[in-house]
Amino acid sequence: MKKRLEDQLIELAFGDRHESGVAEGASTPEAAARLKEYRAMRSALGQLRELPEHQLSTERLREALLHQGLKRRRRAFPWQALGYISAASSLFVCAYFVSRDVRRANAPTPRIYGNTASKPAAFDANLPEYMFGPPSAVESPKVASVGEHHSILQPRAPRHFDVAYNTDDRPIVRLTQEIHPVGKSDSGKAPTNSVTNTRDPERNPAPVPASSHTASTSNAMLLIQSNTDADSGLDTAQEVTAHGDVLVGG
Amino acid sequence: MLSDAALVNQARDGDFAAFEELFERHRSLVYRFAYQMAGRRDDAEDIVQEAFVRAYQNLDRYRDQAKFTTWLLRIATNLCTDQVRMFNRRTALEQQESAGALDWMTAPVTDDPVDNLEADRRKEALRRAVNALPIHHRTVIVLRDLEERAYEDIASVLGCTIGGAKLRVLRARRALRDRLKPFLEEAALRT
Repeated sequence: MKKRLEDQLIELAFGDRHESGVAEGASTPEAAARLKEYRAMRSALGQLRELPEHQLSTERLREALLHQGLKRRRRAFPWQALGYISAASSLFVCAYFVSRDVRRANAPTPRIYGNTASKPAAFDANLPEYMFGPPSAVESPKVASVGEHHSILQPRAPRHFDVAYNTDDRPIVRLTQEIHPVGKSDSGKAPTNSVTNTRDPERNPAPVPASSHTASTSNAMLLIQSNTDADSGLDTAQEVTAHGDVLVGG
Repeated sequence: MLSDAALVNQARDGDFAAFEELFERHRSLVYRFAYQMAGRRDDAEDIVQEAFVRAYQNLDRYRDQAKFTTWLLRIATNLCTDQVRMFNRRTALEQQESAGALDWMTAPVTDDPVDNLEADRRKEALRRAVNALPIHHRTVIVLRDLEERAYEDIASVLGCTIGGAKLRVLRARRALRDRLKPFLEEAALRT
């Protein structure tokens, strides 16, 4: 028997199909016998509908619910779990940025030593915001470029050292500035008793009075004495050579 | 009289009396299904109780698109499936017993007490044959041929289409016929 015909017979026996909807093959003896079998099965199943009485009660249900917990469980849906995960991740990201800002605020600001008075406005603007690692190549060119215009790489201001000779051969006065020796100027003029910084003539072009310094070359010394000159009213001075017996200092 | 949906809403708001009303209304329906599936009264009562407990605990998941009874039967179906899997060994033994019991089902029903006893045995043998079916066949046989549920409800309970439900019912009936074949052939000859 074909499966399709058997399905139609089953539906016919159980009332799901009308007799007119069954194919012609249902009129065969084999199909008629199969139809009887299914009808008998339906009748036998009908006998199983009789059931013993149950003993269910609301008290039993209430006890069961109390036993398992009266509070209804609210199952978390997948989208709720996704919400929790996204909230936690966003909180983590916020905490990261906040901590980064705090660290940035507490980090020591880089200092530029030098003449910052004439610092251009673009100096700070071009600085990197934060450097986590060791100083990179970003800073160096900036400093170098700034040094071209500022005093970071400029020569130091002239310094004066007052030194005295303590022996005949060694000078006790050593100047970082070149001092025109008294009476030995290149122009052959009279000694001017002035000190001139030859390294940077623009910075200190004004002559310094000779009385404020003890100027000498390798051999000459100018000793300022305590007595005053009758003509000028100034202190008198005496030029001596280094070979003379001169004791300087205490 | 309030509808099931209204009672469900009240129960959701914490009105346990509304849920008790739902229990009073539908416990017999669920019990019948559970009994046909489990074959024992105590097992069926346990299934009904557990089904209503789960329904109460998951009232928030119930959607009004489906009937409350369909939703209950779906819970009961899952519970019965779990129980069948738990007592698989017992089911196997009953399957062996049902094979030999089919001979008793050929006796006709009479008023004779002895014959009635035979009829009871025959009915019990038929129940064992139904219980010996695989759970997916048994479920659709109970829903359609014992509880006479509509195919739409069966489809909702099983989570399939109506056409799929009809196909499952056909397959289950064919499988039951194969198990009852000796009895059915003889019964057909008598009639």
